[in-house]
Amino acid sequence: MKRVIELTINGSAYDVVISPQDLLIDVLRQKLDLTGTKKGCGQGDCGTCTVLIDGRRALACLTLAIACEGRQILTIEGMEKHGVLHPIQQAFIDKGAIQCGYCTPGMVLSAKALLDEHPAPTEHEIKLGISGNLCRCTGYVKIVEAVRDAAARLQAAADCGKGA
Amino acid sequence: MSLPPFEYLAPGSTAELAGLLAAHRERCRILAGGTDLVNWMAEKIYRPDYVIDLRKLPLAAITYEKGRGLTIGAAATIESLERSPVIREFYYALVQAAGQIGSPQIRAMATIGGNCCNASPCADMPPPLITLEARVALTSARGSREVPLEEFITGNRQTAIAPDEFLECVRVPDPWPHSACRYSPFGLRAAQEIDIASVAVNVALDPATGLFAKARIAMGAVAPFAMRALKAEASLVGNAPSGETIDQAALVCSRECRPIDDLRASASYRRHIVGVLARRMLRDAVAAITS
Repeated sequence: MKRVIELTINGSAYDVVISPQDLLIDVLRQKLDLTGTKKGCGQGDCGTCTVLIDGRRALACLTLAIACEGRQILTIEGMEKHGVLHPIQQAFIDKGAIQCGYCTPGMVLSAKALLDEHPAPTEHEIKLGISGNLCRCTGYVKIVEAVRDAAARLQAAADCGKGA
Repeated sequence: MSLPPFEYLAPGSTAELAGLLAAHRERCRILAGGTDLVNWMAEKIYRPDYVIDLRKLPLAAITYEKGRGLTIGAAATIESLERSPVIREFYYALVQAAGQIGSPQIRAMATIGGNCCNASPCADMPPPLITLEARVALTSARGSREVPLEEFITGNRQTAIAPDEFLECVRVPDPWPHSACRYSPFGLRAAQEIDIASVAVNVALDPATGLFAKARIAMGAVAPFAMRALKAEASLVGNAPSGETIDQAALVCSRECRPIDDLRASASYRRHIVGVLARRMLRDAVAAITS
């Protein structure tokens, strides 16, 4: 039976008509036109559909949209602020960490979850942090460099904020 | 991928949950992390009329009290086990197992209850839990009962849960005195791997004599469900924790397991790996106690 639920995505509330069996990935892409989140394997292996729900990584292809009522969903569209890319996104561009780009939204959100918890991760921690995101272009070296660079940018911004 | 239609229910109390299960029985499936259930519904392995989500219930707590042991709520995520300081201190094998499951995303979603109830032969949590003498609390409108996890999992994806019951929590007694537990899975790559074999050990030494006082060994992915290595356990107790005793027990493990040939590994390779893992884990556990 269809029903109307309210989803909070990137800080905005959306009323959306859904069926209980609708998956978050399909609601984001097809009903809300938030096509930044990609659908890859559709069974929770590739990580390209990664979003953050209440700050934790979640696979939108294995999540029922109806189970997200009352929770904060962050997608790639919510990373930029006022037309300025998030430092993680900018680091991916500057370090050439994007080839075909299909894994990028999920990689960026996994990187955000990692850096929110570990602002200065080791290379091993970065690799673990993105271990649930597959890049079939195999551009991992640049991705790891980008995450390390993003960590430095975020640290610098935080230090700057403290000084002000 | 789309799912067959169902009605979604999110009860606000365990009493309400028990009522829904009593009313709908086999027509419902419980949703916790969803990492298995959603895939199985997509593949039409399950076509429940009702999906009952645990998300509004207070079932995710991890608590430890000396004398009463560890209680892990059914909806505690694998990530929360991996990060729990008390589990790291007293039940290290559970941290080792949790850290090996799926990907960071899967660990943030998947739950201990799901890992036990879905009863995959290669699930990572049951082997160490069985060596730690874990019991599961099963609750229904009829009341509650506790079952050793070892008896709860009865076959490949089969458990002793009744259609009107839910797994409320997993209880693990206090660690044995002078003991250590260790777990190691083995796969063909480091991340997002399905184990070809795994071994958990939990051993205690007699502080007076230095001999093995107690031993439990469980092996995963080499039988329809995590199985105890009873003969290997018996071979340890009363003997000194020497390389010779451990090598002998590891050999017994590789004989006791009942692996199959499949696309991931041959049965004979699995036997070999079980012996290697058992030897390593026993050595690690003994070193942890004596250091």
